[in-house]
Amino acid sequence: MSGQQITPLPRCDTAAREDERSLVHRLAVALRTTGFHDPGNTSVQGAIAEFLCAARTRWAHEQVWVGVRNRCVFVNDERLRIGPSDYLNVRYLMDTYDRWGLGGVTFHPGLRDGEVRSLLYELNQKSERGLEELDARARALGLKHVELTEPERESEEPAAHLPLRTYSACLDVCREIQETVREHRHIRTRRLRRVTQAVVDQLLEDESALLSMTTIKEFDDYLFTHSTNVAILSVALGQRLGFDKRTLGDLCLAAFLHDLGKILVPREILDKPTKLDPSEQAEMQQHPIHAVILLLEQEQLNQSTIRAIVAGFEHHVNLDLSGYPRLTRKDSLTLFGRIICVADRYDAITTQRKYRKTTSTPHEGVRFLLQHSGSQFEPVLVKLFLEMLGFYPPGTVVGLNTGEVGVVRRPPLPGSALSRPQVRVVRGGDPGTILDLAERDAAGNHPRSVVTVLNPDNDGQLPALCSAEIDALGPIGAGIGDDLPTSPVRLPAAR
Amino acid sequence: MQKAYRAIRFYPPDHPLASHCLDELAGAFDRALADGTLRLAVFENSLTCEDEPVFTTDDLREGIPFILFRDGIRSLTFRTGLGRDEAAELIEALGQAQEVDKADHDLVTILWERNLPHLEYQVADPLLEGETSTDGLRQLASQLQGKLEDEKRARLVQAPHADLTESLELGSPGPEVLVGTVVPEEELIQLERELEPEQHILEEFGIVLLETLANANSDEDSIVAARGLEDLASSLLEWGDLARLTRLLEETAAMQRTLGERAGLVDSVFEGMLDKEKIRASLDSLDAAEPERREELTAFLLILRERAHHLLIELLIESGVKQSRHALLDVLTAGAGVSMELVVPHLGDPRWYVVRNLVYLLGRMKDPRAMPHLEPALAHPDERVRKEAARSVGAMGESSSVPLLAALLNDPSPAVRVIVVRQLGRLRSTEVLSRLLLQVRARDFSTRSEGEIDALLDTLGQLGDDSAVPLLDELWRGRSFFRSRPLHVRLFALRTLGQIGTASARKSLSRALRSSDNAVRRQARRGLWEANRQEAASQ
Repeated sequence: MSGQQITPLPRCDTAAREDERSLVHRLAVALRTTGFHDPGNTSVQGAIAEFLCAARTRWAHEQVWVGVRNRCVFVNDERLRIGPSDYLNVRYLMDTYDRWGLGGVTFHPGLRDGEVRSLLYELNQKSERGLEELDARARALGLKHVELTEPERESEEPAAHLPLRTYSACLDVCREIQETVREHRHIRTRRLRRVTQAVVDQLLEDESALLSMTTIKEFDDYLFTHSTNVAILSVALGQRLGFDKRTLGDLCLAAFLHDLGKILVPREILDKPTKLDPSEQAEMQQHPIHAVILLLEQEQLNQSTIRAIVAGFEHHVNLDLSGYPRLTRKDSLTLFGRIICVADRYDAITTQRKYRKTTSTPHEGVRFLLQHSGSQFEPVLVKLFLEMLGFYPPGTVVGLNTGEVGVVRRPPLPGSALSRPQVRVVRGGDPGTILDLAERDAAGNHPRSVVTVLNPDNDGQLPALCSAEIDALGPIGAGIGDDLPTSPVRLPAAR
Repeated sequence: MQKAYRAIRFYPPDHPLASHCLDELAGAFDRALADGTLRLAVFENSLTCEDEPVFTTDDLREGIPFILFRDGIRSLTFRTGLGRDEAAELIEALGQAQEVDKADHDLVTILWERNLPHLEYQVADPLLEGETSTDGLRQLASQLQGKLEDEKRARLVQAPHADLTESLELGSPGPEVLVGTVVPEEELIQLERELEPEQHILEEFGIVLLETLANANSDEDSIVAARGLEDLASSLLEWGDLARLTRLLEETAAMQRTLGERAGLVDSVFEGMLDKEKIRASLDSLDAAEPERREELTAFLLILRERAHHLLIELLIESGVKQSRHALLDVLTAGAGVSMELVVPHLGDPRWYVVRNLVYLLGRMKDPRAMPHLEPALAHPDERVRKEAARSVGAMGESSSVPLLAALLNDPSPAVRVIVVRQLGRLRSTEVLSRLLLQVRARDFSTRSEGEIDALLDTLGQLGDDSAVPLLDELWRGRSFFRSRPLHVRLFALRTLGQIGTASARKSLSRALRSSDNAVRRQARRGLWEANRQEAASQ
């Protein structure tokens, strides 16, 4: 399991993906068959029956959406990897969607044979006015279990490396993973990988924007923002350790999934506003074990997921093994485990929780790491963490010697003192001004220095980015779809 | 690119044909990139450059355009500096793309991980998803930030503030600590060194699974962890990583003893190892392997031995690789436990080495019931089987062994006779003394191989008495009726006299001290010393 090759362990359940492929394949075959034969033809009847069978097997009680975007086929948001043998039929389906300006079709439970036949025959007709006309015809035919949808609007901010979109995608993926695991389905590994790749790319390009985003704490969606923040902080640390891109990708994935086990901890324990009793504590301490079990139940085990399992197990063990789970055979932590342990604890103590009245400031967060350096945390990593975020990490509200109050928006620039970050003034002086505390006056002195740390409403911190800065992150860069080729392949118009 | 891709699909990259195609591709890139970058747009069945098709194929299965297109890649941009290695990596990545589907992986991830510096690619759906709304995040930031900006509502609480420099133990540079100086290089090197021997991730994984088993709160979780162990062990076996596999199984066995009622859940891990084909593959690889490899395999099989007798014997019978048969015999004869019933049915196998190995096993079972099954092997047409049968019969140490072995004293093969004689000596049965003397008296005795003469006279020395002395006295004197005896016969006879050590034997040795032959005198002295030593020991 080394090198570039990804070698899956033998257990591999690809049933869900196969069902999706089968559904699209049968829909495409049925569409094509209805394009060439009369409704009474046995081939048509057979093809429609096969499609319905595929739809009812897996989606008997839920709707299923078959859509096309950028010449890629999706089933319920899952992009399919089409095989060459399926492609001719699938291309026919994509061309038909294109011709009608159709983005997708949702099939609802209760779908009938006649409805499918009518829809497919309509799709094979000539298009005059596009989707509007098709929709009108569908309504006239009384297709109650079929819903036609427009193509998705091209995103105005489609470049994957844009920090805001990357961060939002992380939250989306976290949400999806939680739902997926709760419903005992398999995690969409490809999507998760793409998002972690985007995080790594973004951090390699300019880490400060993503690091700043870790300060936008969502009180209600703790697990989503926490997992995302730990992933970002871990990769930023890994980058300082000189990890290559692939290893950073694995670290990101591991950090992203480290708290997966909390999904199985009862909500009332997770959100309990008071101290946990011993049995609740024991239940909470099972979450690293749950993480191992949930990841083992996923369909694929490869180097990345294995590293995630190990790190997920280790993240509360502590460097001196004083944490949990209690160990019987293991005598040290992996580097991934050590990194995630530092990032996890920092984000946890600086995030507002129901059971705490006062949340630590980021400054107290790094101080906590330093206090437990060598016992709970790897000392070298703690120092690197401090190098990365400075004495006053982004989000810290600081009082300056000038009487101004500011929010740290970026860690100190390279070559600056750790106590001299960039600050955005929020009170006193000129609100909105960006100050670099490392700047010196003509006499070589620092005109501004931090003299105090403030805790806004005892919430610990404020977002390091103001809304104007976030807005500025949005539409940067050219849309990735703008200059993409469109398919020159056109099949003869259907009958 | 297409040509190189095809070559690499059929041949390893270092194969001359594949290598030639990669050289050609590198040359083509050199020429194409001489004037700057090259951008290819990707369609289902074609690649275009500046809207002109540069490659078209109808072969979707093996055509590069479709392999790129299906994973959402819509353009490739090659930059100057792309060398042969990078070109080869790209082609390898394309080849890998066909295989990664089962890992829910795709070409985009492969290319991303390979991180080729002179290649850029555009992906249709970078995050593999639909709309990602960033509005929520914007609103949240705005709302949180607004708290402070609205001075009437905001409540700023004084928070602890400390100079962290002291905690860093950096001496006293004060708060002006520079970024980049916090972690001294030696500490980073130290961490790297400490983690350098970091256990392989699969070993860590195995230990985590064992810890999970120990900490799991339910049978269901234990079953999942045990299945994980089973998968891991099975993969290690498939990859031939026997050293790690053995350590994992040893750890698992140790853990199993602490699991109480759940111990049975781990049985499947060991049972999963009983995969004949995978074990065979490991065994067959021994032919050209290092000696350590054989040790690893033996250690692995020893763990399974108790559960795998039947399988190991089957493999022993089927294996065509000598090294692997040796390893299997080592395992099967370590400790007790192989059932005779597993071995006996195969004794009629037409292959001599199969019978020889089974006879070897039977001999080491020390089970008297094996004797009737060994007897036919003593008459096996192949002398290698008879040799092993003689050893095995001797190893049984039974009284019934002696007549069976004595019957082989006239075996046509000198090698068999040597073993028979040695085994008879080991059994210390004086009842064969007369048969041995007959052998020594035989007319062709002096012309037999030195090894056989050595064995016969040595055994005679162990079992003999005064009755043998006249014959031995005659032997050392050097002259027979017809011709002189070879020196080694004379010397072995003197040694035998020393071993017998009786008064008459010593007398014969004393006479030999007066021989004109230096070698004879020297051996006689040794013989007398031996005789005296024995006498002293017996007193």
